[in-house]
Amino acid sequence: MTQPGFDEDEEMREQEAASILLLRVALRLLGESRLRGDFGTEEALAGRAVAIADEITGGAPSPHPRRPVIEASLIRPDRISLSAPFDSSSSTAWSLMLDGTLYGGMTVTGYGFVEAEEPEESSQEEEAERERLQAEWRVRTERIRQFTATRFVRALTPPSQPGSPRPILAVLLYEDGFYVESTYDRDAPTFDPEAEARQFFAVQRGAEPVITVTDDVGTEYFESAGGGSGGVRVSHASLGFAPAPPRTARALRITTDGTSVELPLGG
Amino acid sequence: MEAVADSVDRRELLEMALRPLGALGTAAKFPQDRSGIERLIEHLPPGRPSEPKRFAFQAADEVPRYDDEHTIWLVPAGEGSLRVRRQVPWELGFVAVVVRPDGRAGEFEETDGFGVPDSELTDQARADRQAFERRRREQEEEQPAHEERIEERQTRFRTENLIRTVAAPPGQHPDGPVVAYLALYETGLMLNYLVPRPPQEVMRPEDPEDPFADPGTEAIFPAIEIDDGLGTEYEVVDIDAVDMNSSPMRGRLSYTPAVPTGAETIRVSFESVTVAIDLEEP
Repeated sequence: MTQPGFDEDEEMREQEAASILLLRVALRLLGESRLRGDFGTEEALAGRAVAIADEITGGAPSPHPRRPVIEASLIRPDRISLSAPFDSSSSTAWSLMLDGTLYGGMTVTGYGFVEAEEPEESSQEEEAERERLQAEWRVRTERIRQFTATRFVRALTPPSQPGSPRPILAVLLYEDGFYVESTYDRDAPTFDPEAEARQFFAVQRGAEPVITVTDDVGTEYFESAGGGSGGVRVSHASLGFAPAPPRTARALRITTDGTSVELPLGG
Repeated sequence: MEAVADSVDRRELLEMALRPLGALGTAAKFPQDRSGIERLIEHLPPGRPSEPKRFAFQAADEVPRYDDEHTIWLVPAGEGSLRVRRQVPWELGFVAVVVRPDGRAGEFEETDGFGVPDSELTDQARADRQAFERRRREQEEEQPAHEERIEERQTRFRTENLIRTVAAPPGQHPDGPVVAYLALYETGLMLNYLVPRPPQEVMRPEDPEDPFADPGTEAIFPAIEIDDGLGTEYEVVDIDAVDMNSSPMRGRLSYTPAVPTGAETIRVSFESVTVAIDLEEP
């Protein structure tokens, strides 16, 4: 059964409605194609899918301003893909085989449609501000991309940190950066039946620890390559940094929540 | 309690209805007798291996069956159609839909209980209801122990149980699986490792021969054995794909029990590589 709260979530409801429409269309396409032994031509398939969807919905408009209510395309004669938008930037998609196997279900997001507006003439100040923001964005992007995590070198482990609420577990050194791995406890998740899905997941996302890294030769380390964490009552986090420590550095100092731990870099 | 099917139950029912329709091949109609439907079931595509679904025949004049096994019941519906029915999970109610051989599917039918007065229940239906009620009572009785197991699983690797971490030796061959470090807990052991990322055409084939193949998961969780030299039998209690997008990918396996204090080395064996990690404290 759906978790309480989800029934009230409009997006969830719309996505499920799109899925059910997609499956009803899939059944009809399969019912027709199985007799032929294939799904027909790409063009006929796409047109037939839209016609069936129109028949089922009574000609209801698509949730997406530029896409039909159902899109069908041929993967090969006995396989098709189907996609049904459920808002202006998301769709649910499946692939179907002629033997009735349904696979590869996914939600696709991020092809938003915005009515383009004529750009207004920018003032000199506005243009300068835009260029400044672009320059900042370029620097940020370059920093994020600097650590590629492609060539692992070795792991460093710190001394034990009894009593630390967020002990550092290890540093994974690569040729162009490193990951800092840490762990911390989390409160047991609570569930509010009145909360909507978005609120529910927002509450579950705990505050990530802020980690800073320094060394004995003054290298400026910055976050790079992103990171992640997971766990219900215990979180294990991994956060990327660049650059790689220089050969002259003897130790990394990692600080989180006001406590520091030092990892000798050795050979 | 009244059983209520939600949109997920209805969607899953339609997903299941595709299989008998596909298995029908070029036949004009769905069979209407037991032997015909059972033959159809034999020809159903297997579906996702991790979620096997059981399909079974039920006669049209039979009172609905409840077996708590997520069975998809195929019931003759006349005129070459099938009624596809499944129990609403953990409820004494069902959702069904009639599918015609041309793929037209009727409205969803939702029924609480058996759909007939108690006086008309068959012995089978009474047995199904008693079994359902017994399972529900057992679940309620089992609930505290179940919650205790969840509590243990979720708190096993709390920070207070962390003893220390041990780096694996440097210089492991970067083309194969590489052990990064071990985390030793009073309650178990975590193994952190890296494995090469398969090429993109393997990870995301445009038209996979096996639609349910999961090469990324297979690659990130290779067969691994650990040996502490003392004969301890370690059980995997959790698996984590730490980073499946990177190359190499990073994975983590969690084991119980804790490494005995007398252990001096942990040997981690992949199919082609064995890495020995010295546990001696510096």
